[in-house]
Amino acid sequence: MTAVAVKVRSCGWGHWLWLAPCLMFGALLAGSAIGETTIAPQTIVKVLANRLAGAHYAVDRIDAGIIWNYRLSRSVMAGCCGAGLALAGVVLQALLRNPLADPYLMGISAGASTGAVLVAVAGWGAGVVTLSSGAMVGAVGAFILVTLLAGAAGGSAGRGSTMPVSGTIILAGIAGSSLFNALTAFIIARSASAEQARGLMFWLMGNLSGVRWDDTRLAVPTALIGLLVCLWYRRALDAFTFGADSAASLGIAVRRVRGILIASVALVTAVMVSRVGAIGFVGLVVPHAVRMLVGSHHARLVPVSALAGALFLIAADIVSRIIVEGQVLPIGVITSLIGAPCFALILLRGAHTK
Amino acid sequence: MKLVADDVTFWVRGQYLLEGIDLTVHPGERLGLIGPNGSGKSTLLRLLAGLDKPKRGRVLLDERDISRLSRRDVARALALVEQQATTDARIEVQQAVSLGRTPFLSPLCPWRDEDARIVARALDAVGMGHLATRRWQTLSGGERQRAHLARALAQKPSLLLLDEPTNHLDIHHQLALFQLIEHLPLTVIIALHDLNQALACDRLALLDRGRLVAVGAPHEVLTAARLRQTFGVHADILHLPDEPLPVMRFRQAV
Ligand SMILES: Nc1ncnc2c1ncn2[C@@H]1O[C@H](COP(=O)(O)OP(=O)(O)OP(=O)(O)O)[C@@H](O)[C@H]1O
Ligand SMILES: [Mg+2]
Repeated sequence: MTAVAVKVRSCGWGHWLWLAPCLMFGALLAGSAIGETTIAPQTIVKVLANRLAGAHYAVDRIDAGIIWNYRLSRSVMAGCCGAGLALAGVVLQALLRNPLADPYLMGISAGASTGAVLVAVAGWGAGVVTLSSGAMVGAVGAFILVTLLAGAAGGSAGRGSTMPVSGTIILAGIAGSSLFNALTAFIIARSASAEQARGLMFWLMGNLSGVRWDDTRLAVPTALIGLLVCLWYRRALDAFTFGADSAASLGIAVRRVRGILIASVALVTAVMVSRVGAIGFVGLVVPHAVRMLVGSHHARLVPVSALAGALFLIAADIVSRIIVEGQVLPIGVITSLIGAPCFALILLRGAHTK
Repeated sequence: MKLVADDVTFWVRGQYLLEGIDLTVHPGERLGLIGPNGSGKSTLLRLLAGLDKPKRGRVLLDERDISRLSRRDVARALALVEQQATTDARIEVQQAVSLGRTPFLSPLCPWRDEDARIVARALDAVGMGHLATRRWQTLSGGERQRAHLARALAQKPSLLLLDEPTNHLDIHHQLALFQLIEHLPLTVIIALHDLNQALACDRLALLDRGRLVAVGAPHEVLTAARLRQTFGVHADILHLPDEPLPVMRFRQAV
């Protein structure tokens, strides 16, 4: 009986693999169709055929422009951000063994913003350092600061582990976010012109307007690399279930694996933040919901979270375009409106199960 | 497999937790590790498992310095069940036990039927087969302890390091556990508090304030004088007529 039960674990979701591209395609189609003016799906397919397959269908030039240059690029970007941020959440939650760990709540996004603003506005790096690498430095700095703070505040798992386990990580994250947000505001106030400042503030909220194909050139490979790294280390992520010591005794080279995974999280977060600002709660809500659906096995959790994150942000982007007529809300507002109540729910459930 | 501690010394912030431990664990033997609370049993097990590196001295696994072996190679040879390890994750028992297969799997090598069989056998060995699909959080303390043991068995180690494995276990499962490790073709190092159970080990190592004060056959190590010295108790060692092992009874020393 046991043998049968254990075997279920091995096979399983292979049959569902075909669903992922279908869902992605459907979402991108919806993302291109829905907006201030609704465009028929046939038109979108024609434009795609023209652009990608070299076909020569006759389509309205304005429609084609809106679809290709504006909506599709934006939806692709939303998908990459969603997948990347959801993966970042999965990894942080596994490594810190804390369901509340998330790049936004832990101040990593705020650190990335500070780094990006330093490069963009204050002109650090004298044009040699790109926006993304500035954001990367900020993200890593914020992560180190926040985990050190949480560790010093006594949330450490003890015994050979420097990883904090309890809610202290969230408190430390609040402190870190506040600090980095203040730094960002300070840098903007000091160095940016009034017009620049307005644009930056909008960007900081998490904003996809103004995204063009150029922006996706870095985001798509980054999201894919993030996904591959997480899949490669899926068993290591599982092995952290009982803590870093237990992972080590299961044969995981803890320092190396943790370093690689955290660097990947920082990279993904930094690239996304430097393009679209800090979009909150994706890394918290998506993995949590997916875990209820497919369990906490990382072989499933990782790919499904990436997919769900992409779908979630593409949908949130559509909503942000149509919810207030004639206006586009920053996408961060939508994710926070959904994410904050979920965050509260997770907190309450945690309180009840303890 | 042979495990040797050579002058193993460990300190934290200038405070010695272990000092100059020389110990050889022979293949196939069951070595009991005893000593009062805080004497360094858990610390020594962590060092022997290569989780911490000795500040001085070495741990040798088959003549090779354990700190130079890859974690994966160590995990294939040696499994550790720690005193307290738990999780908030929503996982099933069999999922926790299958973690034991981690050192044998690689990113590109899938989970095989063989692994499933090993996990199932490990669960059955500790009498947890019927709980395979239960959520971890719903387990009792003793069931968790047994699941951890199953996880270690699923590692198929030649050396098994157990830190107070009988904690939380009822008397039936304590005896079952001893019977289990007695029949496993493994080298076992086991930290214990119950000195009567310790009598069943092949050899005992007695720790006191970070030093190894005695190693040898149980009756040589557990003398009345030594028990008074290290544990501060007075012991009567009784030889019952039909029992192969003596029985100890304790009183507070005055
Ligand atoms: N990181 C640390 N910093 C300071 N002291 C430590 C640390 N880890 C362990 N100790 C101390 O080292 C001593 C040995 O601890 P250890 O856990 O090895 O004892 P033990 O023999 O396993 O005890 P028990 O029977 O209670 O399990 C204890 O006094 C403990 O307080
Ligand atoms: Mg101990």
